[in-house]
Amino acid sequence: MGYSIIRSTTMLLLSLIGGHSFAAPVAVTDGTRRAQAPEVAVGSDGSIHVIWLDKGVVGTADRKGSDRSGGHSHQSWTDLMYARSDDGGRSFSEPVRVNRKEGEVWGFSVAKPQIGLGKGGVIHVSYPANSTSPLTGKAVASSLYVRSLDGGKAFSEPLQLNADVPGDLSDLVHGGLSQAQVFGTMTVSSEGDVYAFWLDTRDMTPERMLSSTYLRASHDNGASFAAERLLYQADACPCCQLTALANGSERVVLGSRVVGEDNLRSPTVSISLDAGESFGARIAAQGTPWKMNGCPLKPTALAASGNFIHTLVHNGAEDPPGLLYSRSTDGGQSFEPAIRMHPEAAVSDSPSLAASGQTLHAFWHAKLDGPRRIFTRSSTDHGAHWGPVLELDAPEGTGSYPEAAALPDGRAVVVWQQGEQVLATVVGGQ
Amino acid sequence: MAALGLLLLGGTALPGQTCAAGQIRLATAEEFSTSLAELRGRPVVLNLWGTWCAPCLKEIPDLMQLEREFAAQGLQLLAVAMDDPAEFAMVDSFRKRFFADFDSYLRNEPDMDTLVSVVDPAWNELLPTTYLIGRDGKVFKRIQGKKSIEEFRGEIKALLR
Repeated sequence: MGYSIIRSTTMLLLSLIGGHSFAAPVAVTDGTRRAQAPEVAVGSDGSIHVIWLDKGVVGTADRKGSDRSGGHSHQSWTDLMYARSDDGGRSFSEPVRVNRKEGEVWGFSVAKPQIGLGKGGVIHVSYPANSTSPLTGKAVASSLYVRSLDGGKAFSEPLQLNADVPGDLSDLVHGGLSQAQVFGTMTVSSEGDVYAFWLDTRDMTPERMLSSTYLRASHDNGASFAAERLLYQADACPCCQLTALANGSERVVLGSRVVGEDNLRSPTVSISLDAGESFGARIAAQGTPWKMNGCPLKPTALAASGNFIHTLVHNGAEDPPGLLYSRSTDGGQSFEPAIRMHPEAAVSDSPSLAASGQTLHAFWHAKLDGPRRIFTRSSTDHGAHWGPVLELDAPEGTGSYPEAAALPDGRAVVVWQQGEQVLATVVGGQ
Repeated sequence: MAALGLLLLGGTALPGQTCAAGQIRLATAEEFSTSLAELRGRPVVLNLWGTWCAPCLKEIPDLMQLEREFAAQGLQLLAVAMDDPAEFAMVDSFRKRFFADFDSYLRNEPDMDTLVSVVDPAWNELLPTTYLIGRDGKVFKRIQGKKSIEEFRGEIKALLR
């Protein structure tokens, strides 16, 4: 059922494909439980930290926690698990549950919890959670934050990032929720700044079914957070998860999909140069204009190195629909014309980028003539030129939803769902 | 009569299940494939939706109306909810509240793509997605995003020509 390499195995096989080396995938989860939506972060010491959703025993449809919610209906009741590797991804620790209240996590492969490493090895996690509004008594989904000060052995009591908001928007939000402050992201700087964003339904109206973007920031490694702040009001696709990265001293990059006239849904980047105090205008990444009145569920993958800011995003207006890469060489003021990342694929989606110096690694899932598989391309010149599309070495079956982070040596670690198991591998180098 | 009621008349009920107008039923990719195969010879409007997809919910009444409008030509509406299969009760409760006569499958696969790949291996996980399927069982057109009833009517007329 599960992939044959167990967590404690320390084998690290290298396969050479076109001169590129991939470590053989290592199982982060043991395959007995339904693991989804992995995320990964890397510490300054090279330690690898992975979180994922645990949806219960394989073959079951667990709905944890539902009995404790007063009978409210929700779309997702899961646990959030954490494991780490201190040997470069050769093995991973036994999983630790991040959420204290069993089954409280509201998460999907397109609405992932986030993890980041801060100053002193502090592990920061944000996740969407089921809750009941103290103002209305109705079911809501909120954004929570926790951190670990002991290397992931235990996580703090959760802090609700968003304020409780009045109003029952059940007939707009649907899915059993009366408000939703989710589809968020979080980025952590090496100095210990934590920036947590979320998409918020509080300003949604029947005429304008869009979400606002909110931020809550900490400048003391997550010990305390400033009050929430509205960044952009009711202009974002409600189901396209935000992305962000802290890039150098006080620069924060935010990726979001803005909805304009005629339902034009554009991937955009906006920049803060003052540690999140203010954000500039949204700049659209390049690509065919995509007009669509629906739920794309498409984030804008980001990476940055100095003034180079990179985006990789699915565009449904392309034929066939697929991923477009675009870069900015001027710190996000403008973006170069987009290129297709995987033109041979029938469809490509779920992008992730990892940058280290001039080296840039891209990962995504795509279909050729079979199930989804995980693919990668790399650039060694800030995205000016790209190497060939390569398929990761992985077991047969469906591989999907990759997420990557750069290692200190310029390689990248990538985690993904293989069926209902989470695998990890290291890419790059010779 | 809504889609699954017609499926009953056509003998395409899922194995071990009985059909009635207005209900939610779980379907694996294999079961869904079987149902589609048994619909061969009829034009089909296949609609992918989710309880959390507001544009989906706006177009469902239009699609139900068009099914009635083109009933003489044998048009069948076949809907599949992309919600988590564990949320069967929520989806059915939702249906009863908003579309009492609506019949829909609910995916019984861990991910959305597995079931949709029966029809469209290159689906990009976007809702709503509607497929117009000809009598030959082949996809005539893929439509993404909410469309007006007039736009759907025009597309269905093209399908039926």
